[in-house]
Amino acid sequence: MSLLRVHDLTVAYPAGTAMIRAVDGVDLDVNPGEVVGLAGESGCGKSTLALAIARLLPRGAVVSADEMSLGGTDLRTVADDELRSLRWSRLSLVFQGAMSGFNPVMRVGDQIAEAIRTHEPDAGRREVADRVAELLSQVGIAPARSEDFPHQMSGGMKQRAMIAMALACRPELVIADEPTTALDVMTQAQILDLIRRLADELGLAMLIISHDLTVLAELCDRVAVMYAGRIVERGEADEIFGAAGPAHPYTRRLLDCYPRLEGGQGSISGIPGSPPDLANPPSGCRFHDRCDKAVPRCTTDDPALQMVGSSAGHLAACHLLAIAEAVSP
Amino acid sequence: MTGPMMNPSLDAAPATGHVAGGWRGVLRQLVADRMGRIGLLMVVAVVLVAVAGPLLAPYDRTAVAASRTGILQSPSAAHWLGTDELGRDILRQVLAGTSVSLEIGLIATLITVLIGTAVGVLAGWFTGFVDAVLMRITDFFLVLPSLPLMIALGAIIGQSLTMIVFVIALTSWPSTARIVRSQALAVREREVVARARTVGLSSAGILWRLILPGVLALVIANAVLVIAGSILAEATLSFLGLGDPTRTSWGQILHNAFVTGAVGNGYWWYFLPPGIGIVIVVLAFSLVGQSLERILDPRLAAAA
Amino acid sequence: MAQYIGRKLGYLVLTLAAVLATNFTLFHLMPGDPVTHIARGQHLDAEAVARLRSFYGLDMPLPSQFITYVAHLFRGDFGWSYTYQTSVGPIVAKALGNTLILVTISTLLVIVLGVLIGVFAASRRGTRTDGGLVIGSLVFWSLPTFWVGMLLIFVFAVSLGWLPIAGMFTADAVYPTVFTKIADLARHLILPTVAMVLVDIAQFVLISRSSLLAVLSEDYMTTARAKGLSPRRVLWRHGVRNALLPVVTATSLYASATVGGTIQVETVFSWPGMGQLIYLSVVRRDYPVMEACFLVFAIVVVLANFASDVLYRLLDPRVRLT
Repeated sequence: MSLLRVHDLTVAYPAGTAMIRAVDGVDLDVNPGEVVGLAGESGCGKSTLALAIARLLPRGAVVSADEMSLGGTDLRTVADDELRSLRWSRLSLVFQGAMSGFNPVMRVGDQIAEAIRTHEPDAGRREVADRVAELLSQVGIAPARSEDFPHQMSGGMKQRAMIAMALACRPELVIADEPTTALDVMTQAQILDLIRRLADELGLAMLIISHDLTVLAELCDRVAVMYAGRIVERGEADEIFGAAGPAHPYTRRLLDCYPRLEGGQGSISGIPGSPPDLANPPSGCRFHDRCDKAVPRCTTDDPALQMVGSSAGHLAACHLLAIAEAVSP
Repeated sequence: MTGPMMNPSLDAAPATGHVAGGWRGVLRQLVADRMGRIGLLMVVAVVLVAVAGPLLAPYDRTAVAASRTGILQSPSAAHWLGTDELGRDILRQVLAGTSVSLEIGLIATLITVLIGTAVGVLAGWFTGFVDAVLMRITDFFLVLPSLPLMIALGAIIGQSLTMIVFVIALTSWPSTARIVRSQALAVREREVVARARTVGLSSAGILWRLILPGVLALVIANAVLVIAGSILAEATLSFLGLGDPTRTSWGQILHNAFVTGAVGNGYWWYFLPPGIGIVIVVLAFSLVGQSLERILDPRLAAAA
Repeated sequence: MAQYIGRKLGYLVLTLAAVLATNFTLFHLMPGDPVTHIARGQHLDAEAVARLRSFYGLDMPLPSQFITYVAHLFRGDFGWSYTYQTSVGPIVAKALGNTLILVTISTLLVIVLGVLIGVFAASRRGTRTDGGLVIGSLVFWSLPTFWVGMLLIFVFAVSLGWLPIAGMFTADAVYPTVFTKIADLARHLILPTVAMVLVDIAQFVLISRSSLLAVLSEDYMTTARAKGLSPRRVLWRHGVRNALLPVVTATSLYASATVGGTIQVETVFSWPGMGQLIYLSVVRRDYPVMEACFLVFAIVVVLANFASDVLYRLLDPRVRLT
């Protein structure tokens, strides 16, 4: 029984007379205790997806879905006060703390305490302070630092404090948007270790969003890849990052962007071209103009997600799969 | 290395900075912006009135009434805006005031901009001790409240439009200097300047060919706003009795109206039109200035 | 922090000294000695001239003149006014009190209303209300303060007769109780306050609006909403609290502008404060009064700047703790 169920989610922005679909018919599931990754280039709609689920998009965004529920609650229709009460206590987010995720004029400890007090108004001062101290030490920050203002902390420390804050109300699901971006490689490794440890210890369900596939490879049980507002591949992390490699050409190219220690990779390459204009998406497969394996059918028919080989959990939206199927014995 | 370097990369940086198409591009963007468009139209209208206005009203500016019945008349067919306490036609005075107010505003702005730019560029270029000294002086002038200073100087120096222009410039140059200085500092950091130095261009050369053009755009946007402020300042000083009684500026007309008790007696035709004139002119330049600032200030443009 | 205040205090003292020096230069060193200036406008007997000369110390070398001048000031001796036939100090003190009544109320209104309207405009960004408020602010900024005063008097006092035309109290009024006196004062305060507020408020509306708009797009605003905080708390505790910082900086500019506004409004409404005093001193060429007024205005603005600097330091932890 999934914790988070999203079915056919679309997020559109009006721009003049056209509607830009930042997210176009996306399905996403997260089971309790599971870590799911969402990958893609900047601008593919992954952050929009996260904000849409949490109902944090600015006015003017048109959100529609066949289903969007957290546990038993329908996120599409939930009333404002119930939404506010489930925020953070059942669903919390981790933003890029290293940037301006924290209010610069408020002490870090106070901002964490604020979250606790909003959802547990009866909690005493002592109790809240103890919880804050405990949360900070859980992420490896000395409790005395709760008196600090954000500018007094390093980037890595701020990111860890953001994570501590996200766990303050013991949520069921944590969505982390680019948790390691803007950090140096050493700090990135520390944060990744921390997230993995917490997810294991606390049995958290997490949705981790990143453009860096190597981050997702380390943390996630399942991964979904987004391109131009659509999911183009999803499956178990072991399968996608395993020996056979990804099924979708885009995922392959994405993976090739990052160096690997094993696998005899020749060179790191970027992906030529740029993501399509979402106001006027190209016909057929949205990736066809940047794909080096495109066949004529790719320009006319938009491929649907289909099974890769025989594993039911691994899906990719690519015509080549059908061709491979036809060819293989 | 001898002789002037004809390195094309050292050509004066485009004064309009990042705006495409140079000054014509700026004008185009100005017209495209609603605020700028309206302001520009208003400015043009005001200039037209300043130039051609006096021709519209047939009365000689100084013609006074023949008898008591001619004074303080409310508007009529003969005098569209009535007459003042000496029987002079008010419409004629208001129209004449357009050019006087504009003239003073422009001259005061010119001096303000010259001083402010010079100080700002020198402070931003030399930095260090020169900058510290210049900025202390600038800050001091900024802290002195402008109207009392202008009043004191006016009373001491004596009433004349020259005094007003001088006094307005004296209190306005500091804010221009601050703006120019921060822009000059930014330009100084640009690669082009470093290259110019290595190539051997003299300080004066760099100042003239790179720094000045680099701040020019911002100076012009600021200047337009200074025009608005100067016209307001002149009106205020003349109203307070420090203007030249023989020159008809709008502030001077309002001064006459006030001391004649036009407000208490309800002679609205006397004090309403000059005030409206001031508002229109100041608003016109403010609109254009704000719009230009948005277009030309690289920091604001980057944020847009 | 203490170090910072110490440094700023030192700078303040230096600035005040410079103000004194400027005042001295203006009024004592200008072409023709001050006695000539004054004598030009007034009819003075020998005793008056002697008193003037001693106040100005004109027969002494310049540095001594300056010291004499400063010594006089510290003793509270601001000179002798020929139009009021009394020493300048008490005149200025009384006028200052009257001005403070007007300025305190209008400043409070300008800041509070200005910020509220600016916040309102920012929260309605992009709508016609917001656009209208911005244009309205620009229009109001273009209005000469003294002219606004004249219009207000004409409409509300002369034509409609609802409020008094001028002054601080009704002439020759007898007040049975303190309350009737305060009520009369309040009636006289309304129009001058409106005049002062109308022009200056535009500045605060524009600054708080643009400041809040910049803050609204910051990540920590989304974090605050995501935490489930009430919209009110998100807007005020996280949004406005950060947006206020540039507004505090703006108050130092405002101090200088208020002085200009005060002079104009008091002149038009015959409000017996510092503004009217300096205006009348120009009309009557009463230089000692003019000098004292200028000094008081300058000192007040310098102090206001200092206070605003310190306040900013207190409010912004990023600056406070470095």
